[in-house]
Amino acid sequence: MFDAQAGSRMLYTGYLYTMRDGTLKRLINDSFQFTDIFPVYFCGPSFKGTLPLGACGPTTTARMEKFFPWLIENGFRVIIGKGSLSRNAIDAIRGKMVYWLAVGGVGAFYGERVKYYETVAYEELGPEALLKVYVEDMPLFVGVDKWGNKVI
Amino acid sequence: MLDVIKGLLYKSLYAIRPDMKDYIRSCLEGEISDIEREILEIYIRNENVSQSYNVPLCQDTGLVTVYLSHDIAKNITVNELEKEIASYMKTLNMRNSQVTSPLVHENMGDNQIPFIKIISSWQDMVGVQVSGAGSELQGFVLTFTGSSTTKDIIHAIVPEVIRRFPKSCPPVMIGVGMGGTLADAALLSKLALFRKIGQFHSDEVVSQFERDLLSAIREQSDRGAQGIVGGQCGVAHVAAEYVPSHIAGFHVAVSFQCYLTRSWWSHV
Repeated sequence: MFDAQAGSRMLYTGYLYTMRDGTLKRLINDSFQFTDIFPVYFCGPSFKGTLPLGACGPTTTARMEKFFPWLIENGFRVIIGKGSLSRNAIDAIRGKMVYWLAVGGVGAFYGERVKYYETVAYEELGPEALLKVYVEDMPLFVGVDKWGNKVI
Repeated sequence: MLDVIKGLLYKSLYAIRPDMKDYIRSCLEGEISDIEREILEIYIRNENVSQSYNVPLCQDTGLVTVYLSHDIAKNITVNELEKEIASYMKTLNMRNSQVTSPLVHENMGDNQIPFIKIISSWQDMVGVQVSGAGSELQGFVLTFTGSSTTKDIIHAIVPEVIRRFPKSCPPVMIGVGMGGTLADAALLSKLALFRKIGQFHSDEVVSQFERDLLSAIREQSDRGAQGIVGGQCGVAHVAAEYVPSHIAGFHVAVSFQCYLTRSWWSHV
C-alpha cells in the first residue's frame, strides 16, 4: 500500500496508532520506544456512546507537520489525517512517508469501523492518549504518495 | 427557553443543517470527481450512523457558545443557564475537548464550560454554535486603513481564505465581520454563520461584497470537499455583517464553519 498512487481509494483493515498534539509532545519528551510500527492516525476519539471509541474521525494533519521528522526517524511510513499539507512538509516526507487522507467531520462513520482498542500510554491525556486500534474496512484515499504527488 | 437551547445544541451535534444538506445534494447532482462524490456521500451516511449509535457526527464536539438576544437575556440568570447547559452537555456524549488554559494544557476531564453571549442586535432569538478546532483555528483578522476600498479588502482576504479553508472540512460557510473594535469584528464573523446558505445581506452594498468575495474565492481556488484538488464544492456561502467603524480604519475578521454548519438558531 506504500506504493499506491495519489488519489487511490482503499479500505484499510489492520492496526493503527492514534496520536495528536499532546501525544506527540509527550512521546518526544519521553523518547518513547515503539516495538511495533503501524500507520499513525491523527485522531482524538470522543470515547462515548455505543461504539468502542465513540466518534473518531481524523484531526488536521497540518498541525502535526513539525513532528514529521520524529515520525520518520522512528520508522513510521504511513500517516493518516485530514486536510492539506504545506509544500515543505510534502518535500520532507517524499519517499519516506505517505499521507493517507481520511474524511474529516465524520467521526461516527469512522467510529463504526473500529472493532477494538487498547491504551498504550498517557491515559491521563484523555482523547490525546496513545491508543492501538484495530479497524476494519476503513475508507481512505492516498493524499500524498511516495513520489510526492498529491490530491490535497 | 432552556428546552429550545437544548434542542439546538442536540441538532448542532447530531444533524447537518438543512440548508447545507441541500447544498451537498445539489453538488451531488452536478459533475464532480469520484473522490469528491464519495466524500459527500459519506457526509450524508455519517448522519445516519451518528443518530443510530448516539455518537456525535464529529468527535470534535469543540467549544459551545450560546447566543441570546438582549430581550431574552433580560429574563435569564446567566450563571444558572450556564449550569443547566453544562449539565445537559454531559448527556450528549461529547468529547472532553477542553484544557484548563492555553498555557496549561491539562485536560479538564468532564468538559464543559459553555460560553454565553448577549447580542444587542438580535430580537427574540437564541442561537447555539459549536466550534471544532478544524474550523475555529483557521479564523483570522486583517486590519485596513480608512481609505481601503472593497477591492482592497477582497484582494487581501482571498489568499488567506484560500490557504485556510481546505483545512476546515469543506464545503465551508465563511463568516465575515467588519468594523467596530477587534472584538466586535470577531463576534460579527461568528454571527454571520447563522445566515442561511444562499441568503445574501439585505443591504445592497454588503450583498455585492459577499457575492464578489464568493466569486473571487471560487475563481481562484480549485479545492473542493475536504480540500480535494480539482473539487467543485469547496465554499458553500459567504455571509458578512458590519457595524460602524473608525474614520482611520477597521478590522475584518473571518470565521469558517465546516460542512456540519454547527450554527443553529430559533426565534422564540
